[in-house]
Amino acid sequence: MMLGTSIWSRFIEFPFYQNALIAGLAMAVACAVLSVFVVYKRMAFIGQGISHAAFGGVGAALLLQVYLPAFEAPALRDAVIGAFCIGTALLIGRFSRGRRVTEDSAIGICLVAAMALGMLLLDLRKGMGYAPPFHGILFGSILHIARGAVWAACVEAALVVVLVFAFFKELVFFTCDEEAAEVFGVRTGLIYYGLLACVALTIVVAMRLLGVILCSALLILPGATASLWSHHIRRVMVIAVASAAASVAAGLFLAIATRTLSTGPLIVLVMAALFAASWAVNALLDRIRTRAGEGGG
Amino acid sequence: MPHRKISHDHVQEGAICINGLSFRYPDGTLALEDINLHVRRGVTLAIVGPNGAGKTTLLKILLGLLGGYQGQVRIEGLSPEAARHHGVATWVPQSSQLNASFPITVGQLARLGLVGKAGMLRGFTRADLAYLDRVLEMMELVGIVDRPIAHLSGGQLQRTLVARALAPRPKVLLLDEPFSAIDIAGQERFHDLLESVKAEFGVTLLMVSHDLRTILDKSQRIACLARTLHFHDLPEQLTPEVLSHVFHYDLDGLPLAEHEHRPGEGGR
Repeated sequence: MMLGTSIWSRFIEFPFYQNALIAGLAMAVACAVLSVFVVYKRMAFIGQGISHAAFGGVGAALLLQVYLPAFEAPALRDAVIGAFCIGTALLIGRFSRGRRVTEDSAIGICLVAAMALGMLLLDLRKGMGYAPPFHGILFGSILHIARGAVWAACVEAALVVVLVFAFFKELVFFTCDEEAAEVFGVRTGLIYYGLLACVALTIVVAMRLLGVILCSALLILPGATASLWSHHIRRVMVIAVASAAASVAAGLFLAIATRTLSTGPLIVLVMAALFAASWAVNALLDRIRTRAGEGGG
Repeated sequence: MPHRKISHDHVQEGAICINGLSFRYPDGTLALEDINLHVRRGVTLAIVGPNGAGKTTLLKILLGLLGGYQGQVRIEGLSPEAARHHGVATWVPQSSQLNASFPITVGQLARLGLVGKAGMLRGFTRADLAYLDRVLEMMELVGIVDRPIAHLSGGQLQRTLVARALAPRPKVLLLDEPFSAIDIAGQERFHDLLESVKAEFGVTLLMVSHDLRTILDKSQRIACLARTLHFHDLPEQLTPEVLSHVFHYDLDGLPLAEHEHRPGEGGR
């Protein structure tokens, strides 16, 4: 009781906790909605590929700062990183759409190329003096975000939700049977690149909160967890959003309670625990059902 | 080469008219060679041939998914692209290509057939949904419309895919290996359903299969494909010579998968 009260009072006392919660919940909604399509389309790896492209973006932004001081402004730096991520997403799409290489290969190739490019650009920058470390990009900084970033997260999440609902029937058809979708008049290219662009945009925003390593977790775990609980698409969407939002909130309050543990990894571990528990419960239920079936006849 | 000349008396009223169709893959391999095929409206035609005979290629051309072919292809007087665009020809794919773990019900999957007809950012019209209800009833799916596809038998899933294909009110149905996912007992029943669909909605059925035994008694006309058409007529007139030629057909000397059909081979 005492602990709960002190956590709550600290949450109320410090605006950065409130910023973190609002932005985190917004990203949870956007990522969870997209994760359903990402998981069922079997492109779970896509989040990794696009988020790691940020390294290339960071390297480019840091180098640009040397020549153009304007790029020290966070907004411009983020624009460079975002352009790298979205460009990589579209490149992955272009490579895998031609069917000359599979999507997982295309993702793997773009991932390592963008990371290597980022490291080389950083080397160049180091040759010219101090270079800030990649740390913030790796692990995110959900407790150090400005009001503007909170708004950006909310707007981005709203955009994703509106787009997914507007193109819901096309997305569903594309995800469950792409070739048939094409035959029945869905512009599958548009839907595929649109989905990639939404994922990339979401990653660009979510990366500031959870970092490169962890933000792709938000694009896999909610959909994967929800898929264990229902065979109805609307219910799956609701469960995905609910589990992601609950994990973000739980992770943040755990961070407040422990004072020393980082928020991003806590959120991811809560999500992973939810998935593991869902998996175990469903395996158990299946076993009980099978046994009941055997007993009954 | 046992190649029958095809009568051209139905050209005008044909549901499907193919004249001198040839198709080469980008690597130069000839997949289809000088195909001539004229299918009357309301007929059930089966195209049989071994794996690699060009069945899928022909299907993709008819669906307007593959361009760059030589010759003329018309479906109800339209180009394949136009026929697909207007929902004149629709497709019942093999159910195995479907992502069966996707959380969608029978009713929702059938409605996807209307997605192109409705258009982007638009809902389905009441008239289309009423029509689909009739189709679902016809396909005996009314009792299971809310069942997830993950819990369907092969026959139920196949009927759902037919319902989806009928939703945009096509004139031609192209079915890819329609009986392969159904057990023997269910095949007869599924065939009866297809025949009643044909009578009710006046569609032409074109089935493609490698399984001659299953499809032979379920079609009015039959065509044998092995890169080119070797026979195109009534099933009763199909001779063992034609069959042995088609099913032993080697593509560039490569032995095909159908070894068991090859006389003199395989421990007999």
